[in-house]
Amino acid sequence: MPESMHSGPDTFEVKMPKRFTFDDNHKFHLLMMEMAGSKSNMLILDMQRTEFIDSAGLGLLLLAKEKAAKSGKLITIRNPQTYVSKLFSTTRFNELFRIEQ
Amino acid sequence: MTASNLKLPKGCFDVEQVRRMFQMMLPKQQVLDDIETRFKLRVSSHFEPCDFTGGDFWGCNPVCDQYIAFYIADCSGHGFTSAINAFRLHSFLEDIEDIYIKLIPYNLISVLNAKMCQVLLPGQFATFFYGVINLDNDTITYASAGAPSPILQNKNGNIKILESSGFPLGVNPDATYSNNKVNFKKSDRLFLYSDAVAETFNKKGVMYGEDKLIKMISENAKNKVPDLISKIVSSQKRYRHGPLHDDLTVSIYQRL
Repeated sequence: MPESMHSGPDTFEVKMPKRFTFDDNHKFHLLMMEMAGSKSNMLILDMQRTEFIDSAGLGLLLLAKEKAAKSGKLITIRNPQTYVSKLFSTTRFNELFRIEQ
Repeated sequence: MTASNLKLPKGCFDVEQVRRMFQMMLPKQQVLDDIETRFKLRVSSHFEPCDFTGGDFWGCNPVCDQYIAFYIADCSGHGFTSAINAFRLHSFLEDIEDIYIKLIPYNLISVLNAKMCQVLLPGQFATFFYGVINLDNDTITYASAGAPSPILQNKNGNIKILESSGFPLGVNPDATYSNNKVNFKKSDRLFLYSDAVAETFNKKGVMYGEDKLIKMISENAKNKVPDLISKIVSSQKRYRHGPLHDDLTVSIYQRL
């Protein structure tokens, strides 16, 4: 499950799960609501341990981007590993999101 | 067996109808037999939805003399949501009559992307690969909207992974797509597959992966395509821990 790691004045950080799939839908939505209501202007999704994202997980990322944009926040995806980086490259999600290695 | 000879609880008849409607989007065997006879192109496939219906579909149609179009689509999500979006995408595809759009893959994908951007909800999308085989000059011209990279195997068994990056349909209304071209000569084979083929996990949580699929294709270069599909599907089933989590689609094109 995705977990909130840190919520500060500047960043709202989420530790993403090993596999990010439809099963994480509810928890991720709750985190995004928390993020939207926070004072942080930057959402960081830490994918250090994420080995796999399915199409539902990619859809959740798009929803998060929309929600963040509506509340004037930016999203950064941090530390995507080999498989996830390749997936972002194939789907050009690396052009939709700010990626930080 | 159909809904008419089963005593199904209320609601199941609709599900059976949806399943049958979905099957109608897939190519009829008669069309594939005709393509094999006329164009010396053998098309084999396997489709297995993970729910009562699916979000994957594929197809293959002659466009005009010596040109054959083929595609594979995967709408995000499962069940009714992805099935409805698959019906939409298939309808948009069927509506395209302009031969110059059909013959130029990036044009066709751009048209579909514009339409899907208008109807999909935020967070929904479809990956799509579209190619046109030119039998006159033995090539395939293709474009992709984020679909898994197809695998091309030549008659000597050598493997080439096709570049297939692109925004999935419905994600970015300003997305641009481009064409790629590869040789596709007599006895060559092209493998198209949905992400579920490689993204299957075993009991230890290890993914099947593209490498295993490529190895299987390499080791079975001399086998007939239907036998290879059976091997891929059975290998996948043996590897998989638990039920399918996504629709499984494989379609293979071989020049005879």
